Amino acid sequence: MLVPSAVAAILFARWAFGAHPYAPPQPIDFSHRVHVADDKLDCELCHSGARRSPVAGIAPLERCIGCHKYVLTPHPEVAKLRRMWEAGKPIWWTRVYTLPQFVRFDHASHLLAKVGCETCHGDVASMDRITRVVEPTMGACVRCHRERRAPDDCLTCHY
Amino acid sequence: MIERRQFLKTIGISGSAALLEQCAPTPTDELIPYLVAPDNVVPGVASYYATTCRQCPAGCGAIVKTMNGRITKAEGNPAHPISRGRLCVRGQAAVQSVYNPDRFRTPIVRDAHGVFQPISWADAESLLAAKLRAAMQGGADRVAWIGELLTGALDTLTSAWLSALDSRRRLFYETFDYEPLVEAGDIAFGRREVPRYELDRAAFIVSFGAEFLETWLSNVEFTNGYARARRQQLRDPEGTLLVVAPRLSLTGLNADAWIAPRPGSEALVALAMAHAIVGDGLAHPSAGADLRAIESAVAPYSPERVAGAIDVDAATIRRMARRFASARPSLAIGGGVTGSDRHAVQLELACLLLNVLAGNVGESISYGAAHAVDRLATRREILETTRAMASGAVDVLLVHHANPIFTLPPPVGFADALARVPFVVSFAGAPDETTDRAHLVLPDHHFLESWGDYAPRAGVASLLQPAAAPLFDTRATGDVLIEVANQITADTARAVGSTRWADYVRSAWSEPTTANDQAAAAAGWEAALHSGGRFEAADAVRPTLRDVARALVIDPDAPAAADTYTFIACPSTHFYDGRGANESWLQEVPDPIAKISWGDWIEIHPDAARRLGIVDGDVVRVTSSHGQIEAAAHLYAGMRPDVIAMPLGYGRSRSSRHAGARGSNAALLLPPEAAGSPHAVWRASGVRVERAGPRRIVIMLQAHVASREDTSAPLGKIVDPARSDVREPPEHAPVDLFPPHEHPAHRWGMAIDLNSCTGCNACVAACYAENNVAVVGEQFCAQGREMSWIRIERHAHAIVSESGLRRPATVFLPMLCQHCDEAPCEAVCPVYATYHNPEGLNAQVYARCIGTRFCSNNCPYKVRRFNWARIGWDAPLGEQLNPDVTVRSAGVMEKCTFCIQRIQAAKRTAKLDGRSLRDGDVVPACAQTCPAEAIVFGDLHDPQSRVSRLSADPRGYHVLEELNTRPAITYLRRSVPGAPADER
Repeated sequence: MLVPSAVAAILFARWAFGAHPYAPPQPIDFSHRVHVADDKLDCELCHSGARRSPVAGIAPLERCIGCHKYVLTPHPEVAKLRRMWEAGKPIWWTRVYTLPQFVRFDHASHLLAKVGCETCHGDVASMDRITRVVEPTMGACVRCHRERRAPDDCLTCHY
Repeated sequence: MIERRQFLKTIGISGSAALLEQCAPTPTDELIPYLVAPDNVVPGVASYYATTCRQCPAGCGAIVKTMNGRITKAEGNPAHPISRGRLCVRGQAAVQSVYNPDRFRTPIVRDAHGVFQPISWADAESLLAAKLRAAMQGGADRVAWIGELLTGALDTLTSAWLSALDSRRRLFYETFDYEPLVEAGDIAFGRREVPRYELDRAAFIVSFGAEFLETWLSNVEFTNGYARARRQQLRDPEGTLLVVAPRLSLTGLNADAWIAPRPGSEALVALAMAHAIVGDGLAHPSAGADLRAIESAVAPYSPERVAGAIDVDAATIRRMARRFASARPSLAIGGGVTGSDRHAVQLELACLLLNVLAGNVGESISYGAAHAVDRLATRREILETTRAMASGAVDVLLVHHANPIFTLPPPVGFADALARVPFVVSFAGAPDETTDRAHLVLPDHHFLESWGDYAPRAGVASLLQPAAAPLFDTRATGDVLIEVANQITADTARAVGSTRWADYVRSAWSEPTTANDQAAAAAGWEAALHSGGRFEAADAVRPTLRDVARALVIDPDAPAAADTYTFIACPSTHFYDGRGANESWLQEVPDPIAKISWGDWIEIHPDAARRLGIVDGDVVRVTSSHGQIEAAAHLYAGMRPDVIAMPLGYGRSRSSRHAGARGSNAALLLPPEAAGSPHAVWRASGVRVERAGPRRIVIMLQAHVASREDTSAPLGKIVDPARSDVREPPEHAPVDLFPPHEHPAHRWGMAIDLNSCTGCNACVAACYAENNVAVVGEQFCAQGREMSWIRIERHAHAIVSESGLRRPATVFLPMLCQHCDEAPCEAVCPVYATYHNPEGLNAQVYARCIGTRFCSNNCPYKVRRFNWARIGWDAPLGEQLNPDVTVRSAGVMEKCTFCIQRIQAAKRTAKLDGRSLRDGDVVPACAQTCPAEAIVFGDLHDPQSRVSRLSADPRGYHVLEELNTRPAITYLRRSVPGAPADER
């Protein structure tokens, strides 16, 4: 009994941290590549809180519809978006980057310190579906903080 | 067979698998964006709304913090002249009442079996309209309104609404009214109003029982003013406050001197003081014209003659009279529950005479303030309406945010009268004793979800605006009234109009002069919403004294000695009249005087207890001619041995989870009105006291800090006013074995002025709100497992009293994590969960803590709290939680963090603004709300910061200095006249 569970654990660990980065399916097949690389949209157009709030935020549906009322209307995913808008239902995106609730992370301070989005979120311009390329672990945070001589006191993030 | 080594290896791997599983992404985690983003809301950034606290009639301005549409915290509005940026313990708890799990979710109506059933708003409103139409056809005054104090828009609306219904029966009912004070103003100056008291301008205050630091009139404003006066009078050898009352309230415990007259003789004390001032030629020149009239009015009341009746010697009276007359200006305040007997009006009159004699009128006391409380119904009006209800003259009774069934003494007969009313409607937001007897409940929004306005006094027009959308299917009472009026008849519709309530408030607010100019009106409205209202100086009136001699007549001679007890029902600092009893913070935070939580008690003097054979905790029965109650005895030396006292607000009905069926209601013993003078009375004379049962567990949260047998010097230290500037060398020179900690950028510290702290508990409630401190409930509290990060310790010093004058010498000491430089907790943590951070904070990392509790064991201040269980929050109480602070889980130690989230937020704001931190940028929740401004926080590295300057004060000391812990908190000794020199 114990041996198979150990094997499962190792396989699980490889899945979680190894060959297959986390890239969950989303309710709408939104492509960052199209919006960022092709259309050259700024991150903050949709993640408008990034520079002024601890959370970057996600575009309200209104903002998506603002363009997609006219742009690429026949696309099946855009049609999905329109149906949700008409039904007055928000999109329940699946979170890709999650921190435990005892960790405080502030987007605004990091941007102010010139830590770009790609440092944690990778090159989203090359991704169709968002993939977790940087594991948000304490090791990663501390390594970066030390490299940049940012505060590494526990109370910086844990309170 | 598996070998031991193999077994351990396998276990190790599967163990790490279990750990890894916790790190795996949880597919249920979702991000839900807005459909349409609201204006001016940035997700993750708090929004603030200025509004008005309606927990009591004081009308403090509040600023409400909301995060993601949820109300998380209320703080005082600094622009508001009443609250001056501060709130009391009840104001802090207002946010909890929004998320009260017992709130009505929908309107409810009684079905054929008398059981409440939900009803739609449309049906409820048409039902009410039909009942009102029928009542109108029955004649005039068939509809009655009993409700909370209103001014402004809702006052105008209800008045127009009731006249459209041909009724004049509208009572503004508050449990604690100021009728004797209003009456005395009328007799003395021809002004039927409550005067304005400016405590910060007074050099010496005499309170004849008025509990102005906890509940009386406007406690936040008065606490702030009193603390300012106290700081100015720090070096005065007689102190700042004299209290004349048979029992020490929280205000009394803060006094420098105490005179305990026979209950019911307070008026004679005041008159004797007036006599002494006149007789000794101490009157202020401004009293000149009135001197002769006052002299003849007070002639029968020489201190020597009344000494027997008041049970205070003449020398004490003369000494205090001299002190009162020589302080410029001084202030005499009458009232409160202890003075509310048949001589209440005379007491208020005597206080006004004292103020005239000392030249205080126009200085610390003035008229023309037009307080909202002037409009409160008199007890006579309440009795009259009760009689009308009982006689069947009222068909529909509307009760609006009042609970007369609970708060009126039963002999008033309100419950029986209400039973005779065919249709009772309540607008209450949560169940209470009155809604239990209603036929239809139309729940109003909580005041933090409402539009409205309230003017507590002239010059203070305060606005209410919703800080969050209504949580449940409630409706603004204004909207209900408007809708119902439109359904009754065409006439009522015309009289009331069809403007929706929010627009009604706005149009009522616009000044007539700017009404034509749309742009100016809109700008004015926006400005008022931003600042919380319109605040301007009000003109004071200089009244002239009339002939008061006739109204003053009291028998100056001693009454026959009666071997009975006088019962005093006192307002509760936490529950006010009982309205706060269902807010669990107010139940769990111990009462400031008794330090008891989750239960009621009867205060008995130790001498009386000995005589009656009662020990602390015994169940005691008190019987008056009106009723009888039982509760656990609490021995309290802060009163006369012939007095029994009990706080109001306990003994609520079962309909609410925290207040329900907890204790007994002190109002059951009270008479309906004072004998010979028809106003409310909060004491009953000639009560019988007896032991009714064995000891009951009383949860006293200070017991584990200072036991009764403890004879060591109290931690809250005092100093004689004359020595408050004397710097003396520290008793214990610090010893260093290790190099001191380095604090490269900041060294956070705090200074707490015990001379200002009144022990009001506002900081404790603020900490609960800010830091997601769990409410553990009755059983855990009894086991000493409460979670409060800050507590107020009460330390009493024994000072030799001089004949009739006693010194309460009580120090209230806010105890929180001292953030020691040499912290005993840090050294014993096996996992480095607690450590000294580079800014001088004693950090606690929850994720690291494994719950050995060594730290708590080693903490000499006993400020660390262990999560013995996962407590949780009854839905929807969890909506109030501050998202900036981790909710701690079971098995983890926690304690004060100096509000690290606020430090980080201030640093972040400064960084985003491109500047460095300034003194005053970081204000922890306790310091923010302190009505006395006793707590100051800041950077000890900055020699110019307020905290650095206060920490260097000669009165400064560290608690348990001898342990060499080097705390970051400096306490400033309380200035107490007569403090022995060896206290240092």
